[in-house]
Amino acid sequence: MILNIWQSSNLESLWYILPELLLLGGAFGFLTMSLFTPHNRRNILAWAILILLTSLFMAMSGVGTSAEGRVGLFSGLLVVDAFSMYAKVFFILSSMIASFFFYQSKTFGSTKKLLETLAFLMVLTVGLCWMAMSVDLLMTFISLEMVSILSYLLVASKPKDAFSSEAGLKYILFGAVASGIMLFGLSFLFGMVGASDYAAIARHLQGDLHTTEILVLFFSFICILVGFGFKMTIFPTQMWVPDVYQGAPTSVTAFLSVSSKAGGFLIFMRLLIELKVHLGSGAFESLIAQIKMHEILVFFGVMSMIIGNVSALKQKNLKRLMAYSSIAHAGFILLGLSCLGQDGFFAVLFYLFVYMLMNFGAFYIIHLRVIDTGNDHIDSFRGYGNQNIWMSVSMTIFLLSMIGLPPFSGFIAKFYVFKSLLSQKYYMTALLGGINTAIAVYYYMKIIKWMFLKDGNDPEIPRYGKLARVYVILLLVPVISLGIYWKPLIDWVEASLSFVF
Amino acid sequence: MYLFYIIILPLITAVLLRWHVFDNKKSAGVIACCSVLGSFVVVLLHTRYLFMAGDSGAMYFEKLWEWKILPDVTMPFGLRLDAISYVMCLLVTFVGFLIHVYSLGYMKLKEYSRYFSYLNLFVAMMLLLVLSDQLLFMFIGWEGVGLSSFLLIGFYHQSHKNMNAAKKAFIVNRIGDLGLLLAMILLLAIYFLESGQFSLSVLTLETKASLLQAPGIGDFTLIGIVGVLLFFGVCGKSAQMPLYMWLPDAMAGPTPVSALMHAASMVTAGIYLMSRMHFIFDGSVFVSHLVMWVGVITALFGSTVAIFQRDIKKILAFSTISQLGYMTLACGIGAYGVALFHVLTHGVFKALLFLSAGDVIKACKGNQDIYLMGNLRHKLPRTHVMFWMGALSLVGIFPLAGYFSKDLILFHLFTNHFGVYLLALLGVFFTSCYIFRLLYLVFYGNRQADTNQEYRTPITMLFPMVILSILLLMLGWLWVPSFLHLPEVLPEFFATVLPVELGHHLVFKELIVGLISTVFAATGFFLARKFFLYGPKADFWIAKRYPRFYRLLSHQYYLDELYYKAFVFENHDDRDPNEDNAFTNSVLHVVAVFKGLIDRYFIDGLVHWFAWIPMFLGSVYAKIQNGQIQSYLRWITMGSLISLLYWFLWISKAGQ
Amino acid sequence: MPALFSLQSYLLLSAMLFVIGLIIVLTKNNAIQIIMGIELIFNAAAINFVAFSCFRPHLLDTLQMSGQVIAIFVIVVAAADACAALAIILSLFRVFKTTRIQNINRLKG
Repeated sequence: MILNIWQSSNLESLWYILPELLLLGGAFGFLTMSLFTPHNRRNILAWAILILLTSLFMAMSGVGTSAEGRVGLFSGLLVVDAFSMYAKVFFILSSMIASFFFYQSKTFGSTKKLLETLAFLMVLTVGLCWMAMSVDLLMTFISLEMVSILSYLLVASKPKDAFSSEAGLKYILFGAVASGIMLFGLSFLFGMVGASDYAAIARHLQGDLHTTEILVLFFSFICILVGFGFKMTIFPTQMWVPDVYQGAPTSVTAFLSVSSKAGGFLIFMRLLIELKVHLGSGAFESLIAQIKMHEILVFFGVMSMIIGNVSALKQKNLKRLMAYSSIAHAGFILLGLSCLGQDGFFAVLFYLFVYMLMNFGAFYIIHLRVIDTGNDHIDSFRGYGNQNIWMSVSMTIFLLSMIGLPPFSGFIAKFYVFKSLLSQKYYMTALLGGINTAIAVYYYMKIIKWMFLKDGNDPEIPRYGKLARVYVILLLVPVISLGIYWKPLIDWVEASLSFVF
Repeated sequence: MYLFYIIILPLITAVLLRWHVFDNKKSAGVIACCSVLGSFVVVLLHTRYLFMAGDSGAMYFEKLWEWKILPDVTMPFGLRLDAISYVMCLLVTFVGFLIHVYSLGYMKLKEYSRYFSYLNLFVAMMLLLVLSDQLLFMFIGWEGVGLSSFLLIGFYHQSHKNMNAAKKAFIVNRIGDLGLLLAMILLLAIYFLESGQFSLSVLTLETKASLLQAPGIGDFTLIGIVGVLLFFGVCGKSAQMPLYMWLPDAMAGPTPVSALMHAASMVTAGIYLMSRMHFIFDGSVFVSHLVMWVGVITALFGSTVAIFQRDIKKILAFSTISQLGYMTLACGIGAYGVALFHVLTHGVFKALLFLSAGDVIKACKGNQDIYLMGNLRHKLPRTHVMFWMGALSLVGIFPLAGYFSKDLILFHLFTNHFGVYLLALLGVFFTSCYIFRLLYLVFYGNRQADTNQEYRTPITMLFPMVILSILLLMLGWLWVPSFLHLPEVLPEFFATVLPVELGHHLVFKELIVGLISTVFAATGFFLARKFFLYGPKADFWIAKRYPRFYRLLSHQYYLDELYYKAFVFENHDDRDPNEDNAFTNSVLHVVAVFKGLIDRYFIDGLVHWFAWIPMFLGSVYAKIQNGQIQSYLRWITMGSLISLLYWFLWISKAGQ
Repeated sequence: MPALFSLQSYLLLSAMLFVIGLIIVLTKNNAIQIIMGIELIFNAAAINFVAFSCFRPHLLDTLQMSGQVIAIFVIVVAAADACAALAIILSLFRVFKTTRIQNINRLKG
């Protein structure tokens, strides 16, 4: 465990956030470009990918890391370590996937719209990376809001569409209230501790705590959980998910369901990691036991799974179905997190990565289908098996991976979560997880049934461009191969958390 | 030494023969005979172990392996050679060997390996049944002999009738096995209730006095239920009253098979089981009385029905049923040693009778109807003599083996249950009637049977019969009445394992009982001689004079029709109730209907119920998600306030 | 320095503002009023920050006014939030021609 964080001066800190600065610069460049003559959409996409790729390389090559292990930036607001590198890689990757998705989407058909959206995307990426890097209450709040506000705007970005506007309204109202409550809780935590960075919080919580302090801690913990949980789409704050996911443009939904969710998990994990690193294992365990974090997280996780799976059974709208399924997945990930141990954290990071791949794949094919048939009802998949065998097989693989069937990577991810649950001896919870997985089979199989067992009434065979097919293959290959040989991924995940355990 | 070889030798031979490793008649048959002989030799070689045990009571136990089912539940599988299993092993292997030799001469097949393989399989399974010391593994042998009997009865599988008979045998056996399985499960449950832990050691075949303290209401104890269930299993295997109907039909198989299985070995497995589990039957008066009455009724039933049958083998089959009734009767009154002794003697003389019948059938070119036979004593003189010996032993005439065993049964009845004694005596009378009717109709009379002129009994058939008849003369002396002051070999031997009364029988009573039974047997003999010496005319005379009585008996008291009416639901065509597969079909029908109900309502119902719950919850939740953002926020606020309050209290309580 | 109002009174004030804001959000029908309520919630938290920073100084807090800095940031973010919210309400108005949100529930189930 590397306790000491080398605090860099402000100027040096700029060096460490060069990838993010590049992204911000790219965002501003795009916004500026949008004022001028229209450009070729393809070029725009190419530029976006290029910028993202560059920043990814910068992040991975060590611009954002240092040989000293952990570096604190801007006098303790952000920290750069292996975990933040995981976050950077994750979010930049997902933004690259999403940018192509945005390019394909009809909502962002005009170049102006595309430029704006890609700018938003880049700033979102920056915000998400910072969410995982923030070690101060203030930075937590700022990065969270950065991501949230931009997400609200993205959701409502379909012009003159009732669903999109309604979804945006619901998103912002819900999100703002959740952020407000979180802020309120943060203020009490600040008040109890006196300083706003996590290290100070940890130090304050080291000794024996008075009952009042525990109550205050607990209250702020719940409020923080409301705020983080809003982004994680878990139990108390999951009610916005179906409406927003249904109303938003499909590309935005896909991006939100992956990145925003991952951001929520990573910011929560960052809090826990910092507490654990500064408190040491023993004090951390006792703190958790005092505020009953295990039980609450398990309760929230189980409820999210149940609500997600049970409500998805009767859904007729594809995007709503996927929304409920994402609630269920989030609940499952939270169960892995609730173990608050080595197994649990590894399981969460593994699951998030795999989830990104299969979720984007599923949503992309849904998006293609929605364009073909014009509606997002579940029977728009009708007879897809006859029309386009490759796409329907890919969709089947994505869905089977989401169910968690071997030999796909979804199975391995679920396996890691179960492993962490069983190592903590949460047998009942593991049983519930299993039952929920079984319930989930139904609605995923429903889609597969519509694809293969029903005849389509659309005689026209849809044709997709080469880019679309390559995209699907690029997502499909890791889903399958990680299910067979997942060692690289788990090694990387373990390396990014090595400083914690 | 290794008891294990006793079983494995015929088993391996069975497998090899089934895979046609030895296909030639000679080699297949010889190898099969040798393997059974080998088993017999191995049993003999273990004899010394039995008599050097001293205090532990003449037992030799060999543990083969320990089966670890769960970390703390193990089951040792071992073979036990003690007095009972020793005697049974000797009977099975020796008589089995003789019958193998007989088959070499009797069977005329295209390929012999299948036949001998099944025969060896049967011997192996029977030995497993007899030697294992755990109910579970005995059950394997139990099922194995059922399987072998199915394979062998249906050996001539081209004929529907044979296959129906085989199916019937197997299914009726299975119905009995249900009782046995339930008894085993109940034993486990009783042990669990008593001791609080789950262990399979309760299934070992030794006396457990502790089990007799099992709970119950008065005389109606749990052990009593176990006893009834066990007895149900025994009825299935040993063809006692409700489950007897497979035995007459089983005569569709080759004659040596009938001799081995349905005379000497398989049907006696039930008696063996009852002797092993005697403490259960001793513990409950109700059960032992039940056993006794079922035995007596079966004995009477078998003997009366046999009087008017036409088929040689069917007569002998009913005779077996009746004698098994006697053995059951003996078990019912607590004289297990006597029952086993009767098993021994019955095995020998019934096998002899069947083998002689086989010879007769071969001589008459495959005809089994005794109305078409007659005056065979000149044609088959030696068989004639041996049939006489078997018949006399069956009715119990001194000094043949059957006298001693039957006399012991009657004596025990005489002293304890006089009413049943009278019924048993009546059975002796009927026994003598049917066997001598058979004898006279087949071997006497002046009608000449249609025989194969050049037929000579081959030596391979003659040799076993001679050995058996010699045995008959010698076997009886193993258990002589005590007043003769001769060594009582068998009862002392059995006393090491069973509660056997030794010695002190009153001279006077013994002589009286022996005399009375001889008188009854002689009455039957003279009656039969009078009526049937000159052919079956007497049958027709009785049929005319007492038609209803004749029909009642010859249709086996219409029991087949009763079963048909009770169990068969549809009658698409004019089925003849004596049609062989009616019963089988009806049983299968009942089972199918029952299973269908369970499947449709219980299992499917369970699945639908499980599926309904998530759907229902989903529709409930869908009402909450009503699209109003403010209602969402209200839910959250309310929910978090309540849980905050609850958790506050929880935490502050924990903090104190 | 002894102040007329102690920490508790500021906390009480912020709590009241928080609850008032929450009630407005939960019960008002007009979207713009709801945004006002959200602003109240944010500002309640900001008051909390400032109050704590004044009344509970911390040894390690180099600035001795972290809370006030945070409060400024909160105000900025709340403004940005309100901005975005108004933009969305505008687009909503273009479609539904009303700001009454009670009947805007096409997405449900």
